Parts: sequence; structure tokens; C-alpha cells
Amino acid sequence: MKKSNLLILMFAMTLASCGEQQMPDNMRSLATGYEMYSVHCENCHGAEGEGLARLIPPLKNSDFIKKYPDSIAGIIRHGQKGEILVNGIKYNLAMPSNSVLTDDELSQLVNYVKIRFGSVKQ
Amino acid sequence: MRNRILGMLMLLFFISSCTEKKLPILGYKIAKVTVVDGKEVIDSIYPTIPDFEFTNQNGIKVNQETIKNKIYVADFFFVTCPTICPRMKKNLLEVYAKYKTSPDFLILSHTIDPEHDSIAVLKDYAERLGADAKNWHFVRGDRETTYELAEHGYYSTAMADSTEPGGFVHSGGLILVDKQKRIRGIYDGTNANETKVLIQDIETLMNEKE
Repeated sequence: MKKSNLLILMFAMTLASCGEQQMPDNMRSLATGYEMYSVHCENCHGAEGEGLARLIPPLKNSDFIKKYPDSIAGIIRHGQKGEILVNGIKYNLAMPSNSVLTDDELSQLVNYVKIRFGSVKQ
Repeated sequence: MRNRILGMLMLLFFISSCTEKKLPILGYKIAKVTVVDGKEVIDSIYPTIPDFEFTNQNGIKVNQETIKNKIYVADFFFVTCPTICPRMKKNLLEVYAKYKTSPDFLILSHTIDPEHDSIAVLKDYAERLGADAKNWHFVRGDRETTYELAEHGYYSTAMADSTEPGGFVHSGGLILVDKQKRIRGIYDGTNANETKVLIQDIETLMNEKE
């Protein structure tokens, strides 16, 4: 991840943890994305997006996110079944769908995942 | 002066060598009646894990013979668990990495969803996790037997609950059992720091004089 993105994320996480209301919109979006990641994704994909052995694919340095950034929202919303290739390793554990996230939260989560793990410019 | 310092150091060494750390034995003592020379003798003993029989990821029976003279860690999980199981398994991998070459150590991971978690599913899960069936058994058996063992044997929780994510509710506890089948500690398997304590306590238990 680029240094500038890392700083933005760290700032957003700090603000999120402080419950800061007076933050710019892009910061608030990232802070919400971080919160959503902590609640809905971290248990399986890990705090650093490291995944779990050959069971759960990593998000950090994932070639899948770079290759298919437009598929992330659909996977989070509808889940993932069947084999998936990430960084040359085949994963096959089903990922559950998520109907709890609002459209805004989903969008902010996808944005956060892309910026943090997909090296997408802010 | 030098003799006094030397004397104090020797005393400290003596005291520290005498205070061997022992883990507590969990559970209330129960009365056990035996007959000795035709007379009933009542003894109070700590509860032990009841006998069981499950099948592991290689289709091999796992029972009290498997755990005989072994220190082991037990946990309850299910393959499709969308909540705490991956975190528990990540922490258990730390325990496994530390003790997988120890001949008197095992891990027993009990599925609480035997309908889905067939032997083939457990085998794939174990292999993907990097667990060898020699010392990390992923076991399945009758659902009610497993729940009963969790609750009354391991002081844990495992049950079906359609309102919970994944359809089951279970404890995140990692349960440390000694060679006499007594519970010596229960640790939060979702917490990395508690897992570090578990790793230390296994070492303590291995060094404990029987």
C-alpha cells in the first residue's frame, strides 16, 4: 500500500475510534468502511487481511482484488461458492452472503477494501 | 560480605527450585466409592473427561485410547462457521506450531455440525489448515453426544440455534486437559493473548511431576 493511503487509513481509523463527527466526507466513508470491515470481515480474513492458511483467501496483496475490483461488492452481498484462485492458490470454502449491510455501508466497505488491500488510489 | 551475598543467592535459588508452578484442576471434587479388603472406602476425586468415541478426518476411531497419556487441547467448531471459528483456528495454529513435534500432545477439534462436516469435508479442512491427523484430530460423531460431552465433560457450550449466524452457537474456549483426563485450564480461543497463556501453560503441564 502506498504511504499516502496508509496515512489516510490510519487517520480514518483514529477518527473512527474517537467517534469524531466533524470529519471530511471521504474520511468518514473510510472510517465507516473500517468499522464495517472490523464487524463483518475481520473474523475470517484477519485484522491485516492475511486470510487463514489455505482455507480463507487473503485480501492483503491479493491479485484477485486487483484483477476483479468490480466483483467485490457482489461477493460481499451474495457470498461466494465454489473454487476461487487467489495468488495461485485454490480456495473452496463458501463465504456467506450479507444482507445486513445497507447499500451505503457496502459501498464504503468496498472502497475501504480496495484502498487498503487493492492499492487503489484514493 | 561476599559470603553473605553468596548465601542469600543460594537461599533464593533453593526457594525458587522448590516452588514449582502447578496449574489448577478445574471442577468440584466428587465422591468415589471403592472396595478395599471387603470394606467400602470413600475417596474424593476431581472429575475427568467421560469416555467417548468419534471418527477423525481420516476415518479412524478416536477414543480414550487415543488420548491415553497425552496432554491435549479440545475445542468445538464447525466448518461453515462465519464468526469465531476462523479466529480460533488461527490461534490454535500457534499452539500447533509450538507443540506439533511433541509426542505426548494432541489437539481434538470437535465439529458441532456433523451433518455438513463429513469425513471428507473435515479432511479437506484439516489439510488446508496444515494439520496432520497424527496429532490434530478433527472429529465428528453423533450430534447430541457431542453437545452432551461439550456441556458436561468440558464445561463448554455447543448447540444448534437457527437465530445465530451459521445456525449454531458454541463457546470459543480452548480446553486444556492433562494426562489424567482432568481439565487444567480454559482459554478464550478468539484472543491471541490468552492463547499465549495457553502455550505457556502447556509447557508448565508438560514439566509437571506426576
